[in-house]
Amino acid sequence: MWEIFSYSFMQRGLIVGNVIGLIAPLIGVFLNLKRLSLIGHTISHVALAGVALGIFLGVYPVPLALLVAAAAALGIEKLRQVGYQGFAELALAIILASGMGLATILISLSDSNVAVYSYLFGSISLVTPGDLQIILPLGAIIGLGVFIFYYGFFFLAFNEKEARLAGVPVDIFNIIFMLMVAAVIAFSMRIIGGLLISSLIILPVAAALQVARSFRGTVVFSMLFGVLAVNSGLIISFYRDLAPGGTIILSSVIILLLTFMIKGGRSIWKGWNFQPDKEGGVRNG
Amino acid sequence: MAVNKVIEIEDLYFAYEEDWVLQAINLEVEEGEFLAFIGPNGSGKSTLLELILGFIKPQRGRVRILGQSPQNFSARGQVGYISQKARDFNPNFPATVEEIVGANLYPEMGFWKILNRELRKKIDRALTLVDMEKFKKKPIGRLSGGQQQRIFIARTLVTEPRLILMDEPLIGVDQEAQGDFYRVINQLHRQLGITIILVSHDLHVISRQVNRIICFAGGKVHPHCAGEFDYNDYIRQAREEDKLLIPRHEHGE
Repeated sequence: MWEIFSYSFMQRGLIVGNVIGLIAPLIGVFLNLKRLSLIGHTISHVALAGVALGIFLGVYPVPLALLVAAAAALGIEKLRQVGYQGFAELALAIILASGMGLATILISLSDSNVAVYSYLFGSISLVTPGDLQIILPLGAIIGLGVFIFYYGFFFLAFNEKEARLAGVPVDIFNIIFMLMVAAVIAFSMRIIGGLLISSLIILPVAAALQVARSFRGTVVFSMLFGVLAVNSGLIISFYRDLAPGGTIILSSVIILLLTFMIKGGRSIWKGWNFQPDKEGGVRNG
Repeated sequence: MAVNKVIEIEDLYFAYEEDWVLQAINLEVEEGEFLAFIGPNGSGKSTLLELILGFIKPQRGRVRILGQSPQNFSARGQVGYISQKARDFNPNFPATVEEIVGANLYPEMGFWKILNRELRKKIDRALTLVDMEKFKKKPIGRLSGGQQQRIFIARTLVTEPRLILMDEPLIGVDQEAQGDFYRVINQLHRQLGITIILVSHDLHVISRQVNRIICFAGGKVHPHCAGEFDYNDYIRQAREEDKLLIPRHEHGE
């Protein structure tokens, strides 16, 4: 049972996986509530263009992926504010299409499809000590950032216009937040995979929304479910020799299904124990 | 003591592209007033609120709010605003009443942006003022329309404002809740001396509640609801739009 902990590559995989399992859902809460769930998907696809460019130029691709991801994130924000207010998904689709076009050309120009493949699907068992040195400070920065900007980001997710009026520096906060999203995706790509990181941004939050009754609760449950999915996924994939990224995602899906059941059970229980609400006016939900 | 002017508008013009919405508007609001902006759809009531709040800029003229320009306004906590769309949020948004009200205290949270004990007391006080302290831990989406409206009032009260602007706060709120709403608002006006501006269609009820009515018609404001403001026309349109209200008598001060 404890064999998994005896390999140093798995120890590193578990550490990095847990950090990503915490920060991806953490930023995911704010993203999903801003109705930008598919941003992870968009940015990770666009970041692939950066990866392909790096491989094409023969340099370490992550910084380029970060640069392209940041540009895409800011591009989405600009389009959302200026051209397509109220149509956030259109901004996502425009950036996704542009990024994919660019990535396809750059991938076809570069020789190494294997390297691109590893950024698409990740390789958590190949985490190097160098990766640890990047992911651990990133985790700390994102955690601290969300802690400091928590109420500001919360207000932005709830109502941007009123946040502005209340004195929240909305434009700056949107940029800071989008850069945080880009950083989490670019740095997580090589480990979890560009195609899979967006699932860790969405699924644990979707599960938390089923059980939490407050915003703080949603944040805590999201991170809890993220960590649970990463650890169960890694352990199962290790002993069953399955693809780690896919196993982590399927674990998140199972957690989500369990929360549906818990919520369903809760309302049946409420139905059995129904008593008219003494406070009046509060809907039974 | 000299009377403080909380809002001063001089010779203001505003157009959306080619269409003039407001022309040559002059208006002063004194501290402690409770007034209503009344008028048909598209008469510029909400636009004037947005100009006062600095969301949009006039083409010409001057707006001062608490003696400052709305664009460079620094005393955000002193002005509360409840938009027409305040209750238009996703009812599944996972936030408690306490979290929603607390978010307005953002500028007071200090560097670490924490709701300390003093700020939590402010939340309790604001909820008590609207008689909603029992609902502090409830998810906002589970409350009725009238209760949500009170939470949005509490949200503006938490920063202890001198002025509250409300844009059509009673759309979609039932009669009983409307009565509660006016009771709360009147109390805030009388006991705390807060200046209140209410944009409304409901001329009949409003006339019994407020100190002063400003009527909007033909791109102008009519301090005594006279001139171009055609009361009968207004009533007809409001009826057609099913937004009325029982007509009573000609209004004036």
